[in-house]
Amino acid sequence: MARREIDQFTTSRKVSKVRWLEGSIFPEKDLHFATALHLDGKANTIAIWSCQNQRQFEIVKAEDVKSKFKPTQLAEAPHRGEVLDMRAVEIQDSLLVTASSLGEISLYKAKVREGSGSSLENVARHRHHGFSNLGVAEATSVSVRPQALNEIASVGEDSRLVLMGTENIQKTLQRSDYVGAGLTAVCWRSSSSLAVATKIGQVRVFDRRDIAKCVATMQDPQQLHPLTCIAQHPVEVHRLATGNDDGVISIWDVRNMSQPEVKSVKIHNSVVWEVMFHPNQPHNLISCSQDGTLATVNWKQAVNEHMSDAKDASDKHVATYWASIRNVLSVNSVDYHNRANVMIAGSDSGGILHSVQ
Amino acid sequence: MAAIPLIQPSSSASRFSASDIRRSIFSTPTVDINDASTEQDLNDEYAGQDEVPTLYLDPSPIGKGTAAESWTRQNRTIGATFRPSTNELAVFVAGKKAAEEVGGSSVFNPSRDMLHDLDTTTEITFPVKQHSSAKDNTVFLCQASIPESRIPFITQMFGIFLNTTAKDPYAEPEVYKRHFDQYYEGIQRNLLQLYESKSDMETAMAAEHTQELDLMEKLGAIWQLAEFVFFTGDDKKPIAFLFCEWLSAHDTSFDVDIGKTLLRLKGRLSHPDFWPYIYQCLLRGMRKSVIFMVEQTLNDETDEDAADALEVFLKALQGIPSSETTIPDGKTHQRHRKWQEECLKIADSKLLKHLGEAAQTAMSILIGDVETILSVTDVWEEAFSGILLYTNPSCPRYELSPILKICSSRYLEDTDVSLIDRIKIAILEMDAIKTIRHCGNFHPWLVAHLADVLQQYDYLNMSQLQLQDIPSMGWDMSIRDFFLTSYAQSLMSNTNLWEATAGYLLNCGHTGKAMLGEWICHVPLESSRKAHKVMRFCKDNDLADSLRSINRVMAVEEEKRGQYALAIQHFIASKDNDRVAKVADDLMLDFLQNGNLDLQDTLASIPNSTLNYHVEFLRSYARFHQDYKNGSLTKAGRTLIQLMSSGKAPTKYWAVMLFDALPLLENKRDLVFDSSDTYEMMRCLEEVVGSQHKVEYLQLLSTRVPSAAPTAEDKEELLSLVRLSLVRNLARSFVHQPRDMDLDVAMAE
Repeated sequence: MARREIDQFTTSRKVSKVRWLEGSIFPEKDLHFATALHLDGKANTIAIWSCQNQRQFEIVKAEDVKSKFKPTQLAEAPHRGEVLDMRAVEIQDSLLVTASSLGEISLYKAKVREGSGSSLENVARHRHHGFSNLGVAEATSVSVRPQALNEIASVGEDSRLVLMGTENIQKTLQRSDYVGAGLTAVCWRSSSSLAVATKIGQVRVFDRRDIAKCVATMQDPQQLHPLTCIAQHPVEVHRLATGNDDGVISIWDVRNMSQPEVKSVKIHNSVVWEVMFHPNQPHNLISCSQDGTLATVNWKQAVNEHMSDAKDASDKHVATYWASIRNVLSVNSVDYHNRANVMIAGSDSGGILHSVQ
Repeated sequence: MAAIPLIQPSSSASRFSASDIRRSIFSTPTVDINDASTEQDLNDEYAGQDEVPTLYLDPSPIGKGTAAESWTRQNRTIGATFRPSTNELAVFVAGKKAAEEVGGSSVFNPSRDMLHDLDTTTEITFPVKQHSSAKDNTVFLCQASIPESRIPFITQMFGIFLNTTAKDPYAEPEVYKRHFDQYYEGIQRNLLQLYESKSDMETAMAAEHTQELDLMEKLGAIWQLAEFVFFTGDDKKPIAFLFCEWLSAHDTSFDVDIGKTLLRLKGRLSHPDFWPYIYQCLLRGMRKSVIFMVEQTLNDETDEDAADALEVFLKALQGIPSSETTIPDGKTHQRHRKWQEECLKIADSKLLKHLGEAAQTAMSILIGDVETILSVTDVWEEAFSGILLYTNPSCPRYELSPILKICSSRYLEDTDVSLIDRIKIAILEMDAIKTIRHCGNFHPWLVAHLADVLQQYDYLNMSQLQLQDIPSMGWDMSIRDFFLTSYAQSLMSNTNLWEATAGYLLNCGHTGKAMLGEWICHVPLESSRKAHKVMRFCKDNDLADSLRSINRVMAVEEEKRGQYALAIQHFIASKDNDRVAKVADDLMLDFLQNGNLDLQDTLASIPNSTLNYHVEFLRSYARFHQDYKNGSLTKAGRTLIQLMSSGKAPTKYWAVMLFDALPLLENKRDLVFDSSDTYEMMRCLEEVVGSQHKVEYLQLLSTRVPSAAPTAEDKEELLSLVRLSLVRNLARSFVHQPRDMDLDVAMAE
């Protein structure tokens, strides 16, 4: 399998999530990102970081970049429970929405300033997910309504989809019926439709106007493994991507929801933790996995050529794998800065992986 | 107050904390320290030292909050043994004096062997009767906690280990070298990070930080020396020059600033530091530095005679062996001899006498006069480097022993040779076993990784070893596996490192895997994501028994949370069919008692591919209710009959199911059950009524009786209703044909 080396900065804690803060308020010479850090059983925190935008100044060779990624931590704030998902919302200052293992949805305000004025503080928190017997259910994923940015959707182990306002996350706007399959991921298909992934390999679609009942339930009969992540194509509304716990990435064409077209390719050797369409080249997918790699896959080509597995995809130059020689542990999260063209990822070895594309 | 200086561990192991220690399979009970109430001044021998490692244990033989005085009255001594290969400490009650010895009237003067914080003049009277306690027979085990700042180092080294251990250094040397080099680079990178973070370190953390720096520096020094001696070929660079490189990188006893100061001075030739500096440079093979210094001195020198002497001296210095001049063409020795003959001539020349005795000493060093070399330095490494460089610069690495003997007889005869020195000597002797043995006393990381690489290079071939050289440790595995397992054990105290611990154990043969199988079941699963990762690890590495065990634990947890579907899934995965039946019963009972529970939705979480007898029954029963709710009466009836006739439905549910059939039987519009179905149901009814477990079977009917506390008569009445209904249906079935199922479905739609 062809692997490319990726630069790594190492922290002393596991990095469960990374997200770029792409707000226009930040000076172009610096890039900023947020990480969720944790040590098992204690010390869950959110941190914001600053790093140099290497592309801004020079066209750098890969080997030069290698030693240049040295982010500076600007601020850190404690987080209740492990962060299972995190999204950045750019309204004035950056807002970070997190889903926690305690079933809570939290809102953090990140102020990034030149010098030492940066801060990160928790501004709101509310438990939206729990079992009917009052037991704790993990909030597994959150997604912010595109364009309007005024609503947040979250899903949880309690098999419910919840809508809440960004301004007031304490208030539940809508709550779905018990879906009964354990929801693992959510994304907005458009500002009026949502898609969720389930533990039994289903994709369910909801209409925002009434999320009580799901509009459609779809499943790839060939892939019954639990889905772990879901992403919406940036342009084609009918196109979804999912990843499952067997390393398979599926591309869904949901124009006909009663008979969706699904194409699946095994890209990773273990659980796919996150998948996203490349914001600037949507024919490419970016994914990260427990096998310790990141992958960029030309999904159109992969689907057309009926790739059988990761090695096949790599041999046919459809997939490119990225890994650090210093990391063999799970890569938990990945994000792509669409203006600076920089990929960033976080791993269980405490590594923040970084690659200028 | 009380401090219990149980041991004085090595610097790497002096910080023990049990607040983080939970997971060692050996470490029940755990250790807790920093109890202010048990602090005590240290023994006199530690007086004056800045920091003495102390250890506070809880639980321990002494017990939390026990003042040393009261402990001493209990007439116990305490023993402790430290195992450096796993950073573990065992503390135990070592013994007590006999009651006769310390009888009621006896007076005991506490000695240094006894744990005390009392003034030595204090006299203690022991009670006549001495009770033994459970703690007397308990060994308390604890592990050194791992500083947070070392975690990145450990995880990165684990990655390098995985990349290296699978490769053959002889089959693919280039690839192997690339990964192997990462070890030293990793240590250097970690050192760099430690240096960078030193400036903004709070005082409280500074001590730990300094220890960490010291440890990393030592690890780097030993690792590189081992790399040069064991893993670098003579054809690449003679060991003499590699050792000089190593000395410059790792021996900080040489002060570079002296050279800088000297260069700023005028008349430096007469400065007392000038010649010692020159000697040090010569011994360390710092050819360029010494030539530069002499050149500068020559330029500044006003005395013509001295300048001429310096010029001659400089000429001699130009020939100092270096890696550039020592070409492996077989004539190196000849060239070296020729140069030394020239040096001898220069030393004998009158010209050099203008520089005094000191210059003669320098020339003696160049000529390779061992006594002179030994007389100008107090550091054995410098002497070794000098002798090697000037007597035999192309000496192969396996012939270093004679030179080492010269040095050790002069510098290391003392019994108080430090562990680090013993390790260095063992490496230079190319004695792999001795190296491993000493490294084993130094740090678990070092010995484990060194043993792994030495094994790959065939230095630890058991068949060629004299086994009596290895201390008997009662292990039935290779040296590499033993130390890797020990290292993995030392990581067990930190559950954040579970992947690394598991990864090391996985690479330690059968014993490691067996230990892994036991240990991984105890990794705490704080979140579903971590549980997922642990279970995936077990699945990927064929740890079927552990996976079953973890699934069982997860299932019990889910059951406690009332997540029956998840509990069933985990119990199925753990192949615990009895527990599946129990949870399925609970779920069924919950459904029967709680009308709000949607059985079908709950079961939706269980993948359709799951094949289990009990789940199949629940699914069919849920389908029956769904069909009934949707108006597909015939379909619902068919499902019910199939459940009872096929034996899928446990007999205890038959009474409830027969009662559920009542609306279908009493359905006036269509005939749902034909005569054979009705006979079957009658058979079931009779089996329930005639069974010795009738009371138990009827118990569940309580959920179907409106009254709060239904009596046996109420339940009998229900059964009578069913019987009557069955008879009526039988009569109808003789007259009418049952409705076609497809039509029924169409009507419902």
